[in-house]
Amino acid sequence: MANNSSAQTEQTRRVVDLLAARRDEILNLWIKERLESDEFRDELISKKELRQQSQQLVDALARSIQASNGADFDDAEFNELRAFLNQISRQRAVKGYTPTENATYILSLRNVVIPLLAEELGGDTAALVREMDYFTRLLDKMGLVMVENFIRSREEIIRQQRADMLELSTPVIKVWDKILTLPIIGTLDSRRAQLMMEALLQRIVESGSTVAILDITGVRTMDTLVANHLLKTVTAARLMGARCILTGVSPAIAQTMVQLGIDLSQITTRAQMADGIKLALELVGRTVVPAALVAHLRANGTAPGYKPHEQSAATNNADTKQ
Amino acid sequence: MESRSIALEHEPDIVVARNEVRRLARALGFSPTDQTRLATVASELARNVVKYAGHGRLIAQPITDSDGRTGLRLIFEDTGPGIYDLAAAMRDGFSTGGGLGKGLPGSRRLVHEFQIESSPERGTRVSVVRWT
Ligand SMILES: Nc1ncnc2c1ncn2[C@@H]1O[C@H](COP(=O)(O)OP(=O)(O)OP(=O)(O)O)[C@@H](O)[C@H]1O
Ligand SMILES: [Mg+2]
Repeated sequence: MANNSSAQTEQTRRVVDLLAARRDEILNLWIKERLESDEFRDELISKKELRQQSQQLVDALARSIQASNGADFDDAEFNELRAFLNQISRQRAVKGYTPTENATYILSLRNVVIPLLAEELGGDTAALVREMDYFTRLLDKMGLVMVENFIRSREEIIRQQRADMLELSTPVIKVWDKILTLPIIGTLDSRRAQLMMEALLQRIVESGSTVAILDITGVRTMDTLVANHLLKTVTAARLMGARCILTGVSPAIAQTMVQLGIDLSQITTRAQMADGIKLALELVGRTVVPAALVAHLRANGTAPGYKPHEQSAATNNADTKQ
Repeated sequence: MESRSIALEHEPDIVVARNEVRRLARALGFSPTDQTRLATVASELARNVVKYAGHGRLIAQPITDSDGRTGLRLIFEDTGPGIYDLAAAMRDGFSTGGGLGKGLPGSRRLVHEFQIESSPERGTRVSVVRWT
Protein backbone atom coordinates (compact mmCIF):
# COMPACT_ATOMS: atom_id res chain seq x y z
CA MET A 1 0.00 0.00 0.00
CA ALA A 2 0.98 3.56 -0.50
CA ASN A 3 2.53 4.75 2.71
CA ASN A 4 5.29 7.14 1.89
CA SER A 5 8.00 5.51 3.91
CA SER A 6 11.47 6.76 3.19
CA ALA A 7 12.47 3.37 1.81
CA GLN A 8 9.77 3.52 -0.78
CA THR A 9 10.55 7.05 -1.79
CA GLU A 10 14.16 6.17 -2.18
CA GLN A 11 13.54 3.11 -4.29
CA THR A 12 11.09 4.89 -6.57
CA ARG A 13 13.56 7.64 -7.10
CA ARG A 14 15.89 4.96 -8.36
CA VAL A 15 13.37 3.65 -10.89
CA VAL A 16 12.78 7.16 -12.09
CA ASP A 17 16.51 7.81 -12.25
CA LEU A 18 16.92 4.73 -14.35
CA LEU A 19 14.05 5.56 -16.68
CA ALA A 20 15.42 9.06 -17.12
CA ALA A 21 19.14 8.35 -17.35
CA ARG A 22 18.91 5.36 -19.64
CA ARG A 23 15.66 6.21 -21.38
CA ASP A 24 16.87 5.84 -24.96
CA GLU A 25 18.61 2.59 -24.17
CA ILE A 26 15.46 1.23 -22.51
CA LEU A 27 13.39 2.37 -25.42
CA ASN A 28 15.67 0.77 -28.01
CA LEU A 29 15.85 -2.51 -26.11
CA TRP A 30 12.10 -2.58 -25.61
CA ILE A 31 11.33 -1.90 -29.24
CA LYS A 32 13.91 -4.45 -30.35
CA GLU A 33 12.27 -6.97 -28.04
CA ARG A 34 8.87 -6.20 -29.52
CA LEU A 35 10.05 -6.34 -33.11
CA GLU A 36 11.69 -9.70 -32.55
CA SER A 37 8.73 -11.22 -30.75
CA ASP A 38 6.29 -13.46 -32.60
CA GLU A 39 3.65 -10.91 -31.90
CA PHE A 40 5.03 -8.06 -33.91
CA ARG A 41 3.17 -7.59 -37.16
CA ASP A 42 3.94 -4.55 -39.20
CA GLU A 43 0.52 -4.82 -40.79
CA LEU A 44 -0.89 -4.05 -37.37
CA ILE A 45 1.39 -1.25 -36.33
CA SER A 46 4.21 0.47 -38.16
CA LYS A 47 7.68 0.60 -36.58
CA LYS A 48 7.44 4.34 -36.43
CA GLU A 49 4.13 4.23 -34.63
CA LEU A 50 5.40 1.59 -32.22
CA ARG A 51 8.43 3.71 -31.39
CA GLN A 52 6.39 6.83 -30.88
CA GLN A 53 3.89 5.05 -28.68
CA SER A 54 6.53 3.34 -26.59
CA GLN A 55 8.44 6.55 -26.08
CA GLN A 56 5.34 8.39 -24.91
CA LEU A 57 4.59 5.54 -22.59
CA VAL A 58 8.05 5.41 -20.99
CA ASP A 59 8.03 9.17 -20.52
CA ALA A 60 4.54 9.21 -19.00
CA LEU A 61 5.51 6.33 -16.73
CA ALA A 62 8.61 8.12 -15.46
CA ARG A 63 6.68 11.34 -14.86
CA SER A 64 3.91 9.56 -12.99
CA ILE A 65 6.23 7.62 -10.70
CA GLN A 66 8.13 10.78 -9.92
CA ALA A 67 5.03 12.87 -9.24
CA SER A 68 3.26 10.19 -7.21
CA ASN A 69 6.25 9.85 -4.97
CA GLY A 70 6.04 6.09 -5.09
CA ALA A 71 2.32 5.75 -4.55
CA ASP A 72 0.15 3.02 -6.01
CA PHE A 73 -1.14 2.99 -9.54
CA ASP A 74 -4.55 4.05 -8.20
CA ASP A 75 -3.03 7.42 -7.25
CA ALA A 76 -4.33 10.43 -9.16
CA GLU A 77 -0.80 11.14 -10.39
CA PHE A 78 -1.20 8.17 -12.69
CA ASN A 79 -4.25 9.60 -14.44
CA GLU A 80 -2.27 10.83 -17.41
CA LEU A 81 -0.67 7.43 -17.87
CA ARG A 82 -4.01 5.69 -17.46
CA ALA A 83 -5.57 7.92 -20.11
CA PHE A 84 -2.72 7.14 -22.47
CA LEU A 85 -3.11 3.40 -21.89
CA ASN A 86 -6.82 3.72 -22.58
CA GLN A 87 -6.12 5.51 -25.80
CA ILE A 88 -3.71 2.93 -27.18
CA SER A 89 -5.78 -0.04 -26.09
CA ARG A 90 -8.73 1.46 -27.89
CA GLN A 91 -6.68 1.85 -31.06
CA ARG A 92 -5.67 -1.77 -30.73
CA ALA A 93 -9.23 -2.94 -30.15
CA VAL A 94 -10.22 -1.51 -33.50
CA LYS A 95 -7.31 -3.22 -35.20
CA GLY A 96 -8.14 -6.66 -33.90
CA TYR A 97 -5.30 -7.28 -31.46
CA THR A 98 -5.98 -10.09 -29.03
CA PRO A 99 -6.29 -9.20 -25.33
CA THR A 100 -3.12 -11.22 -24.72
CA GLU A 101 -1.09 -9.31 -27.28
CA ASN A 102 -2.33 -6.15 -25.71
CA ALA A 103 -1.24 -7.08 -22.20
CA THR A 104 2.08 -8.58 -23.36
CA TYR A 105 3.10 -5.27 -24.83
CA ILE A 106 3.11 -3.65 -21.39
CA LEU A 107 4.41 -6.61 -19.45
CA SER A 108 7.37 -7.04 -21.77
CA LEU A 109 8.80 -3.77 -20.51
CA ARG A 110 9.76 -5.71 -17.41
CA ASN A 111 12.14 -7.93 -19.39
CA VAL A 112 14.05 -4.83 -20.38
CA VAL A 113 14.00 -2.80 -17.19
CA ILE A 114 14.75 -5.50 -14.62
CA PRO A 115 18.22 -6.46 -15.97
CA LEU A 116 19.18 -2.78 -16.11
CA LEU A 117 17.96 -2.28 -12.56
CA ALA A 118 20.07 -5.21 -11.46
CA GLU A 119 23.03 -3.62 -13.18
CA GLU A 120 22.44 -0.25 -11.52
CA LEU A 121 21.85 -1.58 -8.06
CA GLY A 122 24.91 -3.77 -8.13
CA GLY A 123 25.01 -6.14 -5.19
CA ASP A 124 22.27 -4.46 -3.16
CA THR A 125 19.92 -7.43 -3.30
CA ALA A 126 17.43 -6.03 -0.81
CA ALA A 127 17.03 -2.83 -2.84
CA LEU A 128 16.75 -4.77 -6.04
CA VAL A 129 14.00 -6.99 -4.66
CA ARG A 130 12.06 -3.96 -3.41
CA GLU A 131 12.53 -2.19 -6.68
CA MET A 132 11.49 -5.16 -8.77
CA ASP A 133 8.48 -5.72 -6.59
CA TYR A 134 7.30 -2.14 -6.99
CA PHE A 135 7.89 -2.01 -10.71
CA THR A 136 6.35 -5.39 -11.41
CA ARG A 137 3.21 -4.53 -9.51
CA LEU A 138 2.93 -1.31 -11.42
CA LEU A 139 3.25 -3.05 -14.77
CA ASP A 140 0.70 -5.68 -13.77
CA LYS A 141 -1.80 -2.96 -13.00
CA MET A 142 -1.03 -1.24 -16.28
CA GLY A 143 -1.52 -4.51 -18.14
CA LEU A 144 -4.87 -4.93 -16.44
CA VAL A 145 -5.97 -1.46 -17.45
CA MET A 146 -5.02 -2.30 -21.02
CA VAL A 147 -7.06 -5.49 -21.03
CA GLU A 148 -10.09 -4.07 -19.25
CA ASN A 149 -10.26 -1.06 -21.46
CA PHE A 150 -9.61 -3.15 -24.52
CA ILE A 151 -12.70 -5.22 -23.79
CA ARG A 152 -14.76 -2.15 -22.99
CA SER A 153 -13.70 -0.56 -26.28
CA ARG A 154 -14.68 -3.63 -28.23
CA GLU A 155 -18.13 -3.59 -26.67
CA GLU A 156 -18.54 0.10 -27.34
CA ILE A 157 -17.55 -0.29 -30.96
CA ILE A 158 -19.99 -3.13 -31.42
CA ARG A 159 -22.88 -1.25 -29.84
CA GLN A 160 -22.21 1.65 -32.17
CA GLN A 161 -22.08 -0.58 -35.23
CA ARG A 162 -25.35 -2.27 -34.27
CA ALA A 163 -27.10 1.04 -33.81
CA ASP A 164 -25.87 2.29 -37.17
CA MET A 165 -27.28 -0.70 -38.93
CA LEU A 166 -30.69 -1.04 -37.33
CA GLU A 167 -31.62 2.45 -38.38
CA LEU A 168 -32.24 1.07 -41.81
CA SER A 169 -35.55 -0.67 -41.43
CA THR A 170 -37.17 -1.99 -44.54
CA PRO A 171 -40.85 -1.52 -45.22
CA VAL A 172 -42.90 -4.03 -47.11
CA ILE A 173 -45.04 -1.96 -49.46
CA LYS A 174 -48.27 -2.98 -51.09
CA VAL A 175 -48.11 -1.57 -54.63
CA TRP A 176 -51.30 -3.12 -55.91
CA ASP A 177 -53.93 -5.56 -54.90
CA LYS A 178 -52.10 -8.87 -54.25
CA ILE A 179 -48.71 -7.35 -55.07
CA LEU A 180 -46.05 -6.53 -52.46
CA THR A 181 -42.61 -4.98 -52.87
CA LEU A 182 -39.64 -5.13 -50.61
CA PRO A 183 -37.06 -2.52 -51.61
CA ILE A 184 -33.86 -3.62 -49.91
CA ILE A 185 -31.45 -0.78 -49.22
CA GLY A 186 -28.10 -0.66 -47.51
CA THR A 187 -26.15 -3.26 -45.70
CA LEU A 188 -27.51 -6.71 -45.25
CA ASP A 189 -26.17 -8.56 -42.30
CA SER A 190 -27.54 -11.88 -41.24
CA ARG A 191 -29.96 -10.52 -38.66
CA ARG A 192 -31.37 -7.84 -40.90
CA ALA A 193 -31.77 -10.23 -43.81
CA GLN A 194 -33.63 -12.62 -41.58
CA LEU A 195 -35.90 -9.94 -40.11
CA MET A 196 -36.75 -8.62 -43.54
CA MET A 197 -37.57 -11.98 -44.97
CA GLU A 198 -39.78 -12.80 -42.01
CA ALA A 199 -41.62 -9.51 -42.36
CA LEU A 200 -42.22 -10.21 -46.04
CA LEU A 201 -43.65 -13.68 -45.44
CA GLN A 202 -45.86 -12.30 -42.70
CA ARG A 203 -47.26 -9.63 -44.99
CA ILE A 204 -47.87 -12.14 -47.75
CA VAL A 205 -50.14 -14.07 -45.42
CA GLU A 206 -51.90 -11.04 -44.00
CA SER A 207 -52.61 -9.45 -47.35
CA GLY A 208 -53.24 -12.59 -49.32
CA SER A 209 -50.72 -11.41 -51.89
CA THR A 210 -49.66 -13.67 -54.70
CA VAL A 211 -46.64 -11.76 -55.99
CA ALA A 212 -43.71 -10.23 -54.14
CA ILE A 213 -41.07 -8.07 -55.77
CA LEU A 214 -37.71 -8.03 -54.03
CA ASP A 215 -35.68 -5.13 -55.27
CA ILE A 216 -31.96 -5.15 -54.52
CA THR A 217 -30.94 -2.05 -56.47
CA GLY A 218 -29.66 -0.56 -53.22
CA VAL A 219 -27.62 -3.59 -52.19
CA ARG A 220 -23.90 -3.46 -52.84
CA THR A 221 -22.78 -6.83 -51.59
CA MET A 222 -24.61 -10.11 -51.47
CA ASP A 223 -22.84 -13.05 -49.93
CA THR A 224 -23.77 -16.71 -49.52
CA LEU A 225 -25.63 -16.07 -46.30
CA VAL A 226 -27.88 -13.39 -47.75
CA ALA A 227 -28.36 -15.43 -50.91
CA ASN A 228 -29.33 -18.35 -48.73
CA HIS A 229 -31.93 -16.24 -46.89
CA LEU A 230 -33.23 -15.08 -50.23
CA LEU A 231 -33.53 -18.59 -51.66
CA LYS A 232 -35.27 -19.83 -48.53
CA THR A 233 -37.72 -16.96 -48.62
CA VAL A 234 -38.56 -17.60 -52.25
CA THR A 235 -39.22 -21.24 -51.47
CA ALA A 236 -41.31 -20.42 -48.40
CA ALA A 237 -43.31 -17.84 -50.35
CA ARG A 238 -43.95 -20.39 -53.07
CA LEU A 239 -45.30 -22.83 -50.49
CA MET A 240 -47.68 -20.10 -49.45
CA GLY A 241 -48.84 -19.62 -53.00
CA ALA A 242 -46.87 -16.47 -53.76
CA ARG A 243 -44.32 -15.92 -56.46
CA CYS A 244 -41.22 -13.80 -55.97
CA ILE A 245 -39.62 -11.55 -58.55
CA LEU A 246 -36.08 -10.35 -57.98
CA THR A 247 -35.20 -6.97 -59.48
CA GLY A 248 -32.27 -4.60 -59.53
CA VAL A 249 -29.48 -7.17 -59.70
CA SER A 250 -26.41 -5.16 -60.67
CA PRO A 251 -23.91 -6.57 -63.18
CA ALA A 252 -21.33 -6.74 -60.40
CA ILE A 253 -23.58 -8.78 -58.12
CA ALA A 254 -24.70 -11.00 -60.98
CA GLN A 255 -21.11 -11.89 -61.91
CA THR A 256 -20.10 -12.38 -58.30
CA MET A 257 -23.04 -14.71 -57.65
CA VAL A 258 -22.11 -16.84 -60.65
CA GLN A 259 -18.51 -17.16 -59.47
CA LEU A 260 -19.55 -17.88 -55.92
CA GLY A 261 -21.55 -20.70 -57.40
CA ILE A 262 -24.95 -19.57 -56.21
CA ASP A 263 -27.79 -20.57 -58.44
CA LEU A 264 -30.42 -17.86 -58.52
CA SER A 265 -31.94 -19.20 -61.72
CA GLN A 266 -34.94 -20.60 -59.90
CA ILE A 267 -35.92 -17.03 -59.05
CA THR A 268 -37.65 -14.97 -61.71
CA THR A 269 -35.57 -11.86 -62.28
CA ARG A 270 -36.06 -8.57 -64.07
CA ALA A 271 -33.49 -5.84 -64.55
CA GLN A 272 -35.52 -2.92 -63.22
CA MET A 273 -38.13 -2.58 -60.54
CA ALA A 274 -40.47 -1.17 -63.23
CA ASP A 275 -40.15 -4.38 -65.28
CA GLY A 276 -40.85 -6.34 -62.12
CA ILE A 277 -44.03 -4.39 -61.48
CA LYS A 278 -45.14 -4.93 -65.05
CA LEU A 279 -44.63 -8.67 -64.75
CA ALA A 280 -46.35 -8.72 -61.36
CA LEU A 281 -49.42 -7.01 -62.82
CA GLU A 282 -49.54 -9.55 -65.62
CA LEU A 283 -49.34 -12.34 -63.07
CA VAL A 284 -52.41 -11.00 -61.27
CA GLY A 285 -54.22 -10.54 -64.55
CA ARG A 286 -53.78 -6.81 -64.98
CA THR A 287 -52.17 -4.67 -67.58
CA VAL A 288 -51.10 -1.09 -67.93
CA VAL A 289 -52.58 0.72 -70.93
CA PRO A 290 -52.79 4.41 -71.92
CA ALA A 291 -55.81 6.20 -70.54
CA ALA A 292 -56.59 7.48 -74.07
CA LEU A 293 -57.06 3.94 -75.24
CA VAL A 294 -59.60 3.23 -72.53
CA ALA A 295 -61.48 6.42 -73.33
CA HIS A 296 -61.56 5.43 -76.97
CA LEU A 297 -62.77 1.95 -76.09
CA ARG A 298 -65.50 3.38 -73.92
CA ALA A 299 -66.66 5.73 -76.62
CA ASN A 300 -66.38 3.45 -79.61
CA GLY A 301 -66.45 -0.09 -78.31
CA THR A 302 -63.46 -0.97 -80.52
CA ALA A 303 -59.76 -0.47 -80.29
CA PRO A 304 -58.28 2.23 -82.54
CA GLY A 305 -55.21 1.64 -84.64
CA TYR A 306 -52.93 3.21 -82.02
CA LYS A 307 -49.18 2.67 -82.07
CA PRO A 308 -47.84 1.02 -78.95
CA HIS A 309 -44.43 2.88 -79.00
CA GLU A 310 -46.08 6.26 -78.71
CA GLN A 311 -47.83 5.42 -75.52
CA SER A 312 -46.67 6.99 -72.32
CA ALA A 313 -46.89 4.47 -69.55
CA ALA A 314 -49.85 5.73 -67.63
CA THR A 315 -51.72 3.84 -65.02
CA ASN A 316 -55.23 3.19 -65.97
CA ASN A 317 -57.86 4.07 -63.43
CA ALA A 318 -60.53 2.08 -65.16
CA ASP A 319 -58.29 -0.93 -64.68
CA THR A 320 -59.40 -1.35 -61.10
CA LYS A 321 -63.04 -1.23 -62.00
CA GLN A 322 -62.89 -4.09 -64.46
CA MET B 1 -1.01 2.90 -49.07
CA GLU B 2 -1.18 1.64 -45.51
CA SER B 3 -2.39 -1.78 -44.45
CA ARG B 4 -5.48 -2.04 -42.35
CA SER B 5 -6.31 -4.47 -39.64
CA ILE B 6 -9.83 -5.12 -38.43
CA ALA B 7 -11.06 -7.12 -35.47
CA LEU B 8 -13.44 -9.95 -36.30
CA GLU B 9 -15.54 -11.06 -33.40
CA HIS B 10 -19.17 -10.13 -33.89
CA GLU B 11 -21.57 -9.91 -36.78
CA PRO B 12 -21.19 -6.13 -37.20
CA ASP B 13 -17.43 -6.59 -37.66
CA ILE B 14 -18.20 -8.48 -40.86
CA VAL B 15 -19.96 -5.43 -42.24
CA VAL B 16 -17.07 -3.21 -41.20
CA ALA B 17 -14.60 -5.56 -42.88
CA ARG B 18 -16.63 -5.68 -46.06
CA ASN B 19 -17.01 -1.90 -46.28
CA GLU B 20 -13.37 -1.27 -45.50
CA VAL B 21 -12.23 -3.72 -48.17
CA ARG B 22 -14.50 -2.08 -50.70
CA ARG B 23 -13.16 1.33 -49.77
CA LEU B 24 -9.55 0.17 -50.13
CA ALA B 25 -10.31 -1.61 -53.41
CA ARG B 26 -11.88 1.52 -54.82
CA ALA B 27 -8.93 3.65 -53.70
CA LEU B 28 -6.56 1.20 -55.39
CA GLY B 29 -8.40 1.53 -58.68
CA PHE B 30 -10.26 -1.79 -58.83
CA SER B 31 -13.29 -1.88 -61.14
CA PRO B 32 -16.76 -1.81 -59.55
CA THR B 33 -17.17 -5.53 -60.24
CA ASP B 34 -13.79 -6.28 -58.65
CA GLN B 35 -14.73 -4.14 -55.66
CA THR B 36 -17.84 -6.27 -55.25
CA ARG B 37 -15.80 -9.47 -55.66
CA LEU B 38 -13.36 -8.41 -52.96
CA ALA B 39 -16.10 -7.19 -50.63
CA THR B 40 -17.88 -10.50 -51.06
CA VAL B 41 -14.73 -12.49 -50.30
CA ALA B 42 -14.26 -10.33 -47.19
CA SER B 43 -17.82 -11.03 -46.16
CA GLU B 44 -17.46 -14.79 -46.63
CA LEU B 45 -14.12 -15.29 -44.95
CA ALA B 46 -14.79 -12.83 -42.14
CA ARG B 47 -18.05 -14.60 -41.43
CA ASN B 48 -16.26 -17.93 -41.24
CA VAL B 49 -13.89 -16.48 -38.63
CA VAL B 50 -16.73 -15.08 -36.55
CA LYS B 51 -18.93 -18.13 -36.94
CA TYR B 52 -16.45 -20.97 -36.58
CA ALA B 53 -13.55 -19.48 -34.62
CA GLY B 54 -15.24 -16.78 -32.56
CA HIS B 55 -12.38 -14.30 -32.76
CA GLY B 56 -9.77 -13.27 -35.28
CA ARG B 57 -8.80 -10.48 -37.57
CA LEU B 58 -8.57 -9.33 -41.13
CA ILE B 59 -5.45 -7.70 -42.45
CA ALA B 60 -5.87 -5.87 -45.73
CA GLN B 61 -2.60 -5.08 -47.51
CA PRO B 62 -2.22 -3.12 -50.72
CA ILE B 63 0.62 -4.73 -52.70
CA THR B 64 2.55 -4.25 -55.94
CA ASP B 65 4.18 -6.93 -58.07
CA SER B 66 7.46 -6.65 -59.98
CA ASP B 67 5.65 -5.27 -63.03
CA GLY B 68 4.18 -2.50 -60.93
CA ARG B 69 0.73 -4.00 -60.94
CA THR B 70 -1.44 -3.19 -57.96
CA GLY B 71 -3.18 -5.79 -55.89
CA LEU B 72 -4.95 -6.25 -52.62
CA ARG B 73 -4.02 -9.01 -50.22
CA LEU B 74 -6.52 -10.04 -47.57
CA ILE B 75 -5.41 -12.21 -44.68
CA PHE B 76 -8.01 -13.72 -42.37
CA GLU B 77 -6.53 -15.30 -39.29
CA ASP B 78 -7.99 -16.86 -36.21
CA THR B 79 -6.91 -19.07 -33.35
CA GLY B 80 -10.07 -21.15 -33.47
CA PRO B 81 -10.47 -24.93 -33.67
CA GLY B 82 -9.13 -25.23 -37.22
CA ILE B 83 -10.78 -27.03 -40.09
CA TYR B 84 -11.05 -30.74 -39.49
CA ASP B 85 -11.13 -31.84 -43.12
CA LEU B 86 -9.64 -29.13 -45.28
CA ALA B 87 -10.12 -30.95 -48.58
CA ALA B 88 -13.81 -31.41 -47.83
CA ALA B 89 -14.22 -27.81 -46.69
CA MET B 90 -12.87 -26.62 -50.03
CA ARG B 91 -15.54 -28.54 -51.93
CA ASP B 92 -18.75 -26.87 -53.04
CA GLY B 93 -21.64 -27.67 -50.80
CA PHE B 94 -19.71 -28.84 -47.75
CA SER B 95 -20.92 -27.15 -44.57
CA THR B 96 -20.89 -28.07 -40.90
CA GLY B 97 -22.86 -24.95 -40.06
CA GLY B 98 -26.00 -25.31 -42.13
CA GLY B 99 -24.76 -22.92 -44.81
CA LEU B 100 -24.59 -23.36 -48.56
CA GLY B 101 -20.99 -24.52 -48.29
CA LYS B 102 -19.92 -22.01 -50.92
CA GLY B 103 -17.88 -19.60 -48.80
CA LEU B 104 -14.43 -21.15 -49.20
CA PRO B 105 -14.70 -22.62 -52.71
CA GLY B 106 -16.57 -19.54 -53.94
CA SER B 107 -13.99 -17.16 -52.49
CA ARG B 108 -11.24 -19.11 -54.22
CA ARG B 109 -12.97 -18.49 -57.55
CA LEU B 110 -13.26 -14.78 -56.83
CA VAL B 111 -9.53 -14.16 -56.37
CA HIS B 112 -6.28 -14.78 -58.24
CA GLU B 113 -4.32 -16.32 -55.38
CA PHE B 114 -5.71 -18.36 -52.55
CA GLN B 115 -3.84 -20.03 -49.69
CA ILE B 116 -5.28 -21.73 -46.67
CA GLU B 117 -3.57 -23.25 -43.64
CA SER B 118 -5.41 -24.77 -40.77
CA SER B 119 -4.59 -26.85 -37.73
CA PRO B 120 -6.23 -27.47 -34.36
CA GLU B 121 -3.21 -25.92 -32.60
CA ARG B 122 -2.80 -22.78 -34.63
CA GLY B 123 -6.26 -22.10 -35.98
CA THR B 124 -6.97 -21.05 -39.52
CA ARG B 125 -5.28 -18.58 -41.84
CA VAL B 126 -6.60 -17.76 -45.28
CA SER B 127 -4.62 -15.43 -47.51
CA VAL B 128 -5.98 -14.23 -50.84
CA VAL B 129 -4.82 -11.78 -53.51
CA ARG B 130 -6.64 -10.13 -56.34
CA TRP B 131 -4.77 -8.02 -58.89
CA THR B 132 -6.23 -5.03 -60.69
N1 LIG C 1 -12.16 -20.15 -39.86
C1 LIG C 1 -12.66 -21.38 -39.74
N2 LIG C 1 -12.44 -22.11 -38.61
C2 LIG C 1 -12.96 -23.35 -38.48
N3 LIG C 1 -13.70 -23.97 -39.43
C3 LIG C 1 -13.95 -23.31 -40.57
C4 LIG C 1 -13.45 -21.99 -40.79
N4 LIG C 1 -13.85 -21.60 -42.02
C5 LIG C 1 -14.56 -22.61 -42.55
N5 LIG C 1 -14.63 -23.66 -41.68
C6 LIG C 1 -15.26 -24.96 -41.94
O1 LIG C 1 -15.32 -25.17 -43.33
C7 LIG C 1 -16.67 -25.38 -43.75
C8 LIG C 1 -16.88 -24.79 -45.12
O2 LIG C 1 -16.82 -23.37 -45.08
P1 LIG C 1 -17.60 -22.51 -46.17
O3 LIG C 1 -17.41 -21.08 -45.88
O4 LIG C 1 -17.19 -22.99 -47.51
O5 LIG C 1 -19.12 -22.95 -45.97
P2 LIG C 1 -20.13 -22.55 -44.79
O6 LIG C 1 -19.56 -21.45 -43.98
O7 LIG C 1 -20.48 -23.79 -44.06
O8 LIG C 1 -21.41 -22.05 -45.60
P3 LIG C 1 -21.53 -20.67 -46.45
O9 LIG C 1 -20.20 -19.97 -46.35
O10 LIG C 1 -21.84 -21.08 -47.83
O11 LIG C 1 -22.64 -19.91 -45.82
C9 LIG C 1 -17.51 -24.79 -42.66
O12 LIG C 1 -18.81 -25.36 -42.59
C10 LIG C 1 -16.67 -25.06 -41.41
O13 LIG C 1 -16.87 -26.39 -40.97
MG1 LIG D 1 -18.82 -19.71 -44.83
